[in-house]
Amino acid sequence: MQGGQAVVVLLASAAVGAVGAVSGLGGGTFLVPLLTLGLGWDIRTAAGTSLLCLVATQLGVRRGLRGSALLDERAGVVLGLASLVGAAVGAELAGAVSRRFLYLLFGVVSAGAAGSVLVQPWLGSSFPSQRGEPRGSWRAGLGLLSMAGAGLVSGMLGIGGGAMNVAVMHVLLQLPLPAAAATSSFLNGVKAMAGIPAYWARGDVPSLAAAPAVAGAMWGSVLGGRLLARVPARVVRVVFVPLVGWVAVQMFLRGLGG
Amino acid sequence: MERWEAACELLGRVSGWVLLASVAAAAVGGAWGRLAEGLARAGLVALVSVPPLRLLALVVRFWREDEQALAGLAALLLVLLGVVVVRHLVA
Repeated sequence: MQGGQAVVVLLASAAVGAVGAVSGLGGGTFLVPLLTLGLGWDIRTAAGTSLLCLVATQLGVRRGLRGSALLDERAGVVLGLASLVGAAVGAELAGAVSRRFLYLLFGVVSAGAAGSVLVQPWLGSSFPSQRGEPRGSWRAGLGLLSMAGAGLVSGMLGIGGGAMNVAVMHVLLQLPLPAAAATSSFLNGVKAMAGIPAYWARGDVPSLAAAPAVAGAMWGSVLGGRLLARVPARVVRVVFVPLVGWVAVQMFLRGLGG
Repeated sequence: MERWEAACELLGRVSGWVLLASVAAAAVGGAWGRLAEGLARAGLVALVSVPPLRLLALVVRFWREDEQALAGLAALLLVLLGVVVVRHLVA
């Protein structure tokens, strides 16, 4: 990678990291399309780099969570096992399936993420919001399976899948929304760590190319975290739902076009 | 535990700065390109070592709080991560 390109990737990734933090969707939803559609990277390289960015942005989130009671580490450890297995398998699968399939899957998942941002207000008001709600065994089983599925998708596409994590923890396992969101960031770190070795071993993540993207996402997410409190949720929905919808369509079209 | 957390945080921050330095070296180009490659690798390795270290801290914390089952699960998570990494290093 040329020096000039590295600076472009750094700045673009910083912007994407900030947008990901403000929208609550994480960086991968925006970073992978930016690297593939915008900068012409291979989708596997973009996914592997995005997993590294996930670790980087999680560091910033952890900093903010330290000392708070939001993070449910017990749930995180149990669900982390399912996520880890899913992400490790997903990262292996990413090297086996066609690029066209990865683009199509990304399109579908992005559309789902846009939908989740739209329904967030109703989720928040319709489900129990107290810690310690009874969790039925079928719910726990289905929750573990769902987390493994979310991990699989994360490992394949290099995204954190925050929308999926939160939906499963809040709706199925009845964790309060803030705790689900905080625990999701813990799970993202585990998923990223499970997926990165496969990408690294395949040579899908050249260090010098990934470095500016990871550094940019790290600093961008710190900036986004500061902006988060100042941006109203309604603005997030109005701005980001069409943006993610557009990303979904573009990725889908790329998949159809080969 | 607080010190451990602070050390992990410091490692994360240092990795961020090392990665930035690698970008700067790559931007200069020429002989600095080699240095950039080395810095990028070092930064990424430092970065990915943070989550396992935090997990290790969690194992110790659960153990000290007399929550052996959770400590065991967290340890299993750590071991599985290790297996995934070693499997790809050996392959």
